[in-house]
Amino acid sequence: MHSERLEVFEKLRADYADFLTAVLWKLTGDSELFTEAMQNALLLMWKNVEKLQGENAGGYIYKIAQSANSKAWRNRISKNGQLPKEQISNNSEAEEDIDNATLVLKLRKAMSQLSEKQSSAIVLRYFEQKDYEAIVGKLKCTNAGARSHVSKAIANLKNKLSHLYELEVEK
Amino acid sequence: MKNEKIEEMLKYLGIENVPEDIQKIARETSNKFTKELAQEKHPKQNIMTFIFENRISKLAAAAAIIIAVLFGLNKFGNSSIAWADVVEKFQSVEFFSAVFYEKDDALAQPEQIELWMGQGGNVRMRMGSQVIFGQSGKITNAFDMSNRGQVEPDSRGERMLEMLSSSNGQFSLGTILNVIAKGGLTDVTPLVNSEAIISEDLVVFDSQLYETQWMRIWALRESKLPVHIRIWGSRDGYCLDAFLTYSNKQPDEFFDPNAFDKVFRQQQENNTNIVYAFLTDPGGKDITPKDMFKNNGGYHMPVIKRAGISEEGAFWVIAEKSQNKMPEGWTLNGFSKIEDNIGRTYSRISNDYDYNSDTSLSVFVPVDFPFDERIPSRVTLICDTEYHYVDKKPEIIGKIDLTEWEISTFCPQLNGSGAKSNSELKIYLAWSLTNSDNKERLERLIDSMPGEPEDNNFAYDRERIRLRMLLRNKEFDKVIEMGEKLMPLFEKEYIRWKGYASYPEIFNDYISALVYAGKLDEAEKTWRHIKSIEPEQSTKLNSAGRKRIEEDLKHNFETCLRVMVPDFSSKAHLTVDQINKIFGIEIRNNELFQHYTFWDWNPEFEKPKYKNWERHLAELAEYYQSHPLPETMEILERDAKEEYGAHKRDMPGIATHYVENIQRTLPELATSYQSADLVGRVRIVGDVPDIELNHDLVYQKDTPPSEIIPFVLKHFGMEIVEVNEPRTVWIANYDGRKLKDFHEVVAPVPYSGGERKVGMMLSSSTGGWGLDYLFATFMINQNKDYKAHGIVIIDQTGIKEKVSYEGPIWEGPEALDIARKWFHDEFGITFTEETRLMKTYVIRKRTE
Repeated sequence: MHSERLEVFEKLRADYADFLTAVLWKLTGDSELFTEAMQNALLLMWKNVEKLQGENAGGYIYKIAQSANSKAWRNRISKNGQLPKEQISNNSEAEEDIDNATLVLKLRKAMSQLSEKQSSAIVLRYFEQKDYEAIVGKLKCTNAGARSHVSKAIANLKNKLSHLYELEVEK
Repeated sequence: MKNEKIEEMLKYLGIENVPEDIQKIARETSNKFTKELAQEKHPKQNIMTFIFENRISKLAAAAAIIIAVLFGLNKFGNSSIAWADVVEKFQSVEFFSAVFYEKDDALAQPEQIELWMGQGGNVRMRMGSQVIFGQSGKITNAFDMSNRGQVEPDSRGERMLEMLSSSNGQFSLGTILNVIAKGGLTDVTPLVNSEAIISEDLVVFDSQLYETQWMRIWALRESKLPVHIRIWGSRDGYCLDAFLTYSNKQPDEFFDPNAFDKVFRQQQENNTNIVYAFLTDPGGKDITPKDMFKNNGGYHMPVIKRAGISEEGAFWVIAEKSQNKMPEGWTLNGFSKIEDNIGRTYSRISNDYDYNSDTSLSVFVPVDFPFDERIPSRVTLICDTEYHYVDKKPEIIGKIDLTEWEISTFCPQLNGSGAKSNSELKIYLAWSLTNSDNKERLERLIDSMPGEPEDNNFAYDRERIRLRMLLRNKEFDKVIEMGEKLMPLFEKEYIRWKGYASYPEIFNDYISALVYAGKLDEAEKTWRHIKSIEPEQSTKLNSAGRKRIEEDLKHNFETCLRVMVPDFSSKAHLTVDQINKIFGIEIRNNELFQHYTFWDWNPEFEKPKYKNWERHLAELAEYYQSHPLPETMEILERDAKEEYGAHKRDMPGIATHYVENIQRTLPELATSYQSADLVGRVRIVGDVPDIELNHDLVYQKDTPPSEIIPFVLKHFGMEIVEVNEPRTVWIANYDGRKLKDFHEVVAPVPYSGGERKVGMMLSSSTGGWGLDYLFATFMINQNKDYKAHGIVIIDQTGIKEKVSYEGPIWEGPEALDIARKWFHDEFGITFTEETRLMKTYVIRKRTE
């Protein structure tokens, strides 16, 4: 029984390895966070092998990616509610680059707080450059629904990043 | 930030390639995971091992391993203790607690986690500032002590519970035993370490967990219960210690998050009382200050040893068994007040306490000391809690009448402590009078103190008190005149080495007077001058001592800012920029003021929506340069829609008019017609058009508020008509019982996982709610459909004080019984139902 499950898991792992690597790297941008997110994703895949075989399997892997990423970020920031300093200061010395790096970092953090649907929509639309028809297929929703997920996700991100307004104005 | 900018960043992330080293990490992580799964027959345990080795939440994982070992030892080494004995023993355990201490390396400070587990899948944890409750492997509630609110649980706690939960989601000691017994830790078979055993009653087992990590277990031979488990990392000195204790089960409330929530919401409650609420000690020992208070029989009266009146009329009392411990953990020493048979008011001006003998010396003087020379024939000494409760009724512990006492030349000392002269008593009294409205009394007292401030300490204090008195009386010019004369003396005192850091607070009153008198440049100059003065330091101080003095001085300056800055905003109405200039600081980025709100700025106002509104107000002001301002009111439709945070109403340069942001739907606007007189009596008839409004209401400042909403409604084709009709009325009466402290009154239905329920808390206030608010909420809730058919309450209780910490939800017919019971049980308020003819305000489409 265990060996059969393992076999299925191995196949799924091979199928999704590149996808998870690419998406989780884009969502984390940090090797430690990435490792944690990858471990979380593998655990979730193992726990949900059955769901990854069904007809909704294509969409489910996006949920796993979001959930794994979200958990990794939560672990990282939960102790004192702050992002780790080294993650902010590790970037370029140039003033403008530091600002951009901070923005990207905050954006990634904000993405970890999106709902599964919204995050999946963003991954599909911007990371995988899919058109809305493809998003409809993956998320099992209508065309209007797919557009709504994307625009709501952008609005949510905008809201979460609103405190950076001044920074942008100063630049 | 614009949407385009976010999209641009997302696109940029989308085209980013995965670096080679990350691909390598991914491959390695993935391969290792599969390898672990493939190696053994028991994937659950392997995943745990995988997590542990990969340092995901090491403490949680290690703690789970320890618990697993605790319940999962299938062999006690080579000893004769059988697995069945262990199973039987642990199945009989009703409750146990574990304290984990973990440090990451040889020099790290350990972190502590406390865990309590009981039968029925109940878990409670304390992790950092969080108290977390779990049931059947799932977290039900997490409370954070630092912000006194319910929060998302610490992810480590969440993980720990996940790991401790069984595969079928049920969580109990039996379940853990069964899960682990099926092979959870078959490879962790500790062996007896005979070298580490020092007596027959203790067995020690060792087990190698990983190449660089081992585990040791200390267990009792007779009971088979482990009492200490350690995991040690020989590579870096990583250490996790778990200490285990067993006892009879805890009361049901201990694992009940709703019971905890009630204690948690008591704002004045001591942290220790909250964190360990309902935890009982098997030996009956005190765990919290509340236990200490309860088990010591509550409060007691101090025992008077001596009492007397000095020649100038100061009453003193020396008492033994003087200290009372309060349930919050605070202490009370001696007596707090006295009264006499001639009706005089006294001030307690000193209260010394000797810890070794539990003795106190309290000195009281009549407020007209030393001019009131009358001698009472009876004095009543009162011991109460007033000094510790700011907004809570003091509890009187007891009163003692005295008719005999010593007549002394002066008050005695308590081991060298206590006032030494009448001048000292006068100074203490004078300082206490500066906080009251006793101007004439205070003037008479300080005028009676002789000497020059240059050569007499009491005269120096007298001048400072005079300065404070003048400032309090808003005689700023006099303060400035006096301050200018006293500045050299203040500076001399500030510079003088006193054995501790100097207090720049002595300049506060003078600087404040300059500000209140509008001499801002002078205030700035003075502050800059004070900052430039370097107080003397003893040559005997070492570098650590100097550093400490510097830190204390910095702290003292911060204290000055904490006092003056908020006052200058609220009382002198200075802008943040003006205050910044005076003190050479930047309030907007200063941690000292991150939680303060200023009249012209608070951190929230930095958000774009507030900036938008400020810009919009400026645009409106410009518009009125070429257009006449309305005689009363006018409504302007905006061209574009934008998010606004309307934190102010003034247009720059226009002193006569305000602007109100109307950015809501017309039905929402109609339902906002809700002043205190109208509550529960507004009816909306017919459909109000669902128009999204995006307008400015510009109106003259003296426009009565009651005219504003009718005007706006009229503008959009609506009208308000008054009709008289019979209404069901509840007359509220009060039975006169003693009201509880409002902090103790909470909503009748406890918080339950975010679900909105009738009777549950709708709002809470540290300042408390009065009946006006509670009744108004009831009537608003009962008129949710705006048909004006709900109950109208007429308040005849006469209760004006704050009565409740929380305001409940009273929606729907089922609220009526709950409300009747709650108001009766909590406040002794009953409602008599009547029908009365009352005015109803009908909002409807205007008929021309």
